Formats: sequence, structure tokens, C-alpha cells
Amino acid sequence: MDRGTAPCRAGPLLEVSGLNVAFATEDGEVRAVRDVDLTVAAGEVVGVVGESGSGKTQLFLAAMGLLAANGRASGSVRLGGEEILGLPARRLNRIRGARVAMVFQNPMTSLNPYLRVSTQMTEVLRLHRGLSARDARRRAAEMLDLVRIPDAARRLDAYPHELSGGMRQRVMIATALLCRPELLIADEPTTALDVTVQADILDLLAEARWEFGTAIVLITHDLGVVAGLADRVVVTYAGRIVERGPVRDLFHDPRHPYTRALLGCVPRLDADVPDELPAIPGQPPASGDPARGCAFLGRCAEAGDRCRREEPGLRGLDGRDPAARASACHRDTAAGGGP
Amino acid sequence: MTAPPSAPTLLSVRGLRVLFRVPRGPLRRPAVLRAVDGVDFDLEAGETLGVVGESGCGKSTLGRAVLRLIEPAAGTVAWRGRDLRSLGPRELRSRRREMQMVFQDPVTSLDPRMTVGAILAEPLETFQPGLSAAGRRRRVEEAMAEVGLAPEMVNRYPHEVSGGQAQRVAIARAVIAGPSLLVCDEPVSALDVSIRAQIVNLLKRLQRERGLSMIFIGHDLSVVRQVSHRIMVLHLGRVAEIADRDAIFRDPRHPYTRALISAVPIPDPDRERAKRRLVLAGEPASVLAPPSGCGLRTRCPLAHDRCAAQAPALEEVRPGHLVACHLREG
Repeated sequence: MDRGTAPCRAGPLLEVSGLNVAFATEDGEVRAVRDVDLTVAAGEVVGVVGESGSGKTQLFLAAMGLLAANGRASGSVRLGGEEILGLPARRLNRIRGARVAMVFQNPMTSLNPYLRVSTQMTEVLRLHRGLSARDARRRAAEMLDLVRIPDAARRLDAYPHELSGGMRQRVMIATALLCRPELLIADEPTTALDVTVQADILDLLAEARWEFGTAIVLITHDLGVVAGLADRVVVTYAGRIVERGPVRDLFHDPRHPYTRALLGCVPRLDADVPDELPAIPGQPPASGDPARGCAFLGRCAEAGDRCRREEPGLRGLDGRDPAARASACHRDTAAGGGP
Repeated sequence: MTAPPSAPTLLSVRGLRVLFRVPRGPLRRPAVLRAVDGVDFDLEAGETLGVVGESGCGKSTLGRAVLRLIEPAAGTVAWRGRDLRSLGPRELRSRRREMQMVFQDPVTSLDPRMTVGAILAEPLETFQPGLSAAGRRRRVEEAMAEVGLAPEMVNRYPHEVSGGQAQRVAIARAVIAGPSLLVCDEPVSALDVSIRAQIVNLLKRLQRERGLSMIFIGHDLSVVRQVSHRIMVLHLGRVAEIADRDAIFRDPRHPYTRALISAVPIPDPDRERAKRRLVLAGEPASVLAPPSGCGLRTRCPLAHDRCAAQAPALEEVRPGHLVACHLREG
């Protein structure tokens, strides 16, 4: 499905720089996110791809001030130019919900099972937009209609358990869009859903971008999900960004061995069935493993001496700005990708 | 779907029906949910049948009913020509050795208080009580090597191994006593992408090397396609379409099959954006209150009067390719 491309390229809406996230655990400090720089422009869809433990979720939880109590974030997170990392909860609450909304994998854990849909949806509007109960209810019904929930006015009086999984995720997205946020962070929004429902939800996100100009960060483990929707893609591994680029560059010319391996090991319907899938050996490192050298070392078919000695930094490819097209691999440099 | 003349078909399922009673409060009679509603299929030795469909289509229930982990309300499951329901408890137990299951969540499917070694030895203790302790140990070592587990993992507990390793343990446990049939219920859905390919390759290799028959239940069509010889598409407890793997993907006849296939995202921006999707309207119909006639008709863009009046029968469109749709000829 063609879900379009970004309408415009303004200055960054979200600007993350030098972000580090660490958790204090019984086994010592675990570094979940390391030295991440990332921007999201207004109206843009950025896909963030990674496996469990890659830090992709913690990165955005930290940016929104939602880390668990034992987590610490350092660095800088700017929203529309304003620093928001470390803001007091009261000011962050005003940003979350109004300017930035989040949608998670399991809508059942985000929806309060004891409250009717109407209560959960109208709360945002009354709190952030100061609407009356009546106006808020009307707006909520309009939004449910927009996300194609049939019989919206009646659904408002339902409890979450009375809705199907796909319907709940639509309610979550409708709630997230109520205040017309500038940025929607969707963390595995379709992972728990059937493929047909997944495709509907992805269409819905694409429409939200067009309708409201909402920028979207789409966090997922599924490369297929970002292929149709994202303008740019960021690949994360072991807490760092290992490759980024415009969606077509990244899919058609993946440069980091991990990106290449990840694309290779996904069975796909548009190709013949191979006898064996080219699997990636081993497993992703536990988050924050204090390994020397490149984090992908143990699973990489191309690793050399330098990869064992020093961790590769994220470098611009083919003379391009590292913020636009970059990979963190020594081999690419050796192959003539730059100094 | 005729059995070869030489050996009886390994598994022959006819008219299988599984009902659940769903309570509706103190004053109302429970509703009856037809989770599996008259399913027929054969499975030959060494064959993998993929079973796909959306959640609630009855695919997991079907897998469990075939193994008689759930008691079917009607129908027969014949194992090498003998109806499983005619077997007494002892005979059924010995059949269990031949039929094993692998579940979605590897960690919760393993006993947390047992080491990997003890988990793998257990089926041998049950099914081959005559085996010596040394013989058991050797078999455990062989099974671990076969599924790619390092020997030192033998003393680990399930929580001390990764999800991928836990699924290898579950697979080793399932095959260690030498079954003929393996029912895998979403065996890679809970695993990381990079681990999925490893486990898919492992299952495919075991199937081939041991000549296993496999029922591979999954919601991810690209994974199911990777392992299956034939594919059955279930919708609201009934077979919508069944055919050889390549026929299903090259020439899907049922609108539901086409909707499922076209909804699978393709990891290529150009192909994904050029793709035409067959969109089903609204939400899946409730299993508790399926529509009259064809179960898909409330969502199907091609539905017409006949679809409401009469449920389509499963009929052959070409040898081995069966479709339950009034419009099956296209």
C-alpha cells in the first residue's frame, strides 16, 4: 500500500542529541541507550527498527520523561527547540497528551479497564483543551468516526473489554490524536494484531499524518511495517543507532551488516521460498553488555581485527551528512565509504 | 484428498467440531461457540500442513483437538486408520509418544523448577521406562546437539536461557521420544526477528531429516509459507481454502485468502507502496453470532445475495485445491 511521503521539510520538531539511558540494577548499571542523535521533522514518519534489548523503546520513554524509577537519562531532547529532558513532571504532563502522544503495543494495558471509553477520551480534552463535558464527548465521537469505528456514539459508552483488539488500538489512536499532537510515538502499535487489522491501523496512521500533519515515530521490530509508511528509517542494535537513511536507500542499499542480515532473514511473500533462511547466528546481546569492540561482532560474518578492538562510530556514507545517511561499521569505511 | 494405496494416511480428520459454552450471566443459558465447525483434512507422513487465519478462527483449537487435548464435540480423528476416540486411556497414552506439541511461549511451556536436562529426560522416562540412566543421558545429549544447544546448557533452568534457546529446548522435548507428528502452535511468534529464522530452519530440518508430519499453526503467512507443503486457511472455524503452498499464493481463490495475503507487509518500500490490498470491511464477525450463509459475507467486497442465503461448500477447483466460496471460479 502506498502510504505516501512527508508533505514538507521544516526544521526538526524533535531533536535528540547525545542521549544516554542507564538503569541501576542489582547487577550494576545497565546502559540501555548510548550516545543517540536523532531528529524528527514536522509531519515526517521515522521508522525505528530493532530487536528486543536494542533500546528503541527506552530511547523514547526517556525522551518523554517516562523512564522507570531506576532509570537515568542524560543528554538533550528538544521539542520545537525547547529542552524537555529533565523537566518537572507537571510541565511534561502538559506536553504529553497535548503536543506529543504515545500509543503502545498492548492497548489493554494503556486503557483503564474500569472506565468507559468516553471517560478516557474526554479526560484529555477537558484537561488539555478545557472543553466542556458535552463538547468533549462530541469531539471524541467525531474522532472515533474518523478512525472508522462503526456506531461511534454507542461505542463511547463501552468498556475496553467489550472491544476487539483492533478496535481498542483504534480507540488508543483516536485518543492520541484528539489534541492534534505534533508528534505521535507509536511503539509496536500493530504487533499484537492480525495482519488485516495491522494493515488497517497502518493506513490509519498514514491518514493521521495527512489529516493533521502529525509527525510519527514508528517503533517496530518488523521491517515490513516501516517499508510502506516511513520516510526515514533508523536501525538500532544494542542501545545504539547502527544505520540510518531515507527509506529507499536503507532497503535497497543496506550498508551495515546487521541491517543486511536482518533484511535477509525475514521470509517474504515477494520472493521464492529458499531451502533455508539466511539466519543471523547467536542472539542479540543483553542490553548494556559491556563488550569491547563492535556490539554486532559475535554475529557478524564480516568482522575483522579492528572490529574487535574498537567500537565503530556512526559515520556519514558516500560523503553525506551523518544525520541523513550513516552506518556504524569499520568495514564500510575500508570498502571506500570514507576516511 | 485420497489416501495412497500403500500405507494408510497418517492422520485423517473428518467433520471435526469443537464447541465451547460461554457463560452469559446467571439468568441466561450459556452461548455455544463453534470454535471448529466441521473441518476435514488428511495429513500424509512427512508432510507439513500450515494452518492460517486470524485470531479466533479456531486454528489453535483445531491443533489441540487433533491431539485430543480438547475433546471434540463431533467428528473423527483417525490415526493410521484408527479412530482416536475408540482408544482406551492406555492406548491413547502410547499414541501420545507419537504426537507432540510445541507452543508459542517457550518459557512458560517449560517447568521452571526443572533443568534443561530433566525437562528432556522426562518424555524418555514416560515413554521408554526401560532405558538406563546412562542411555537417557546419551539421548538427552544427542537431542541437544540436534537442536543446536550447547552441552553446558544441560544444567540451566528455563529462566536462565534466552527465548530462542528455550524454544530449542521445547522442540527437543517434543522430538526426543521419536514422534511421527509435531503440532506447532505459533512457535516463532514470540521470538525476535533474527531468532525466528533460526527456529524456522531448525523445524524444517527436523521435519525433513526425521520424516516428521507437521501441523504448523501461524498467523504470519510468510513464515507459514516457508515451512509448509500445503496450507489450510481457516475462517470462523471452517476451512475457507486448502491447497498446495504454491497454489495458495499464486492463485488464491477465496476472498479471505486474498485479503490475508495482500495484508502481509513486504519489506521493500517500492513493492509495498505499489501493492493493491483487498480490504475486508469492518471487524471480523463474532464466532458467537456468525452471519447466515457465508461467514465472510458481512466483510466481503464481492458478496451477493446467494452468500447470505447459503453457506458455500468446500469444493475442488482443481486437483488438491479446495475452496468454500460461491465465487470460487473467479
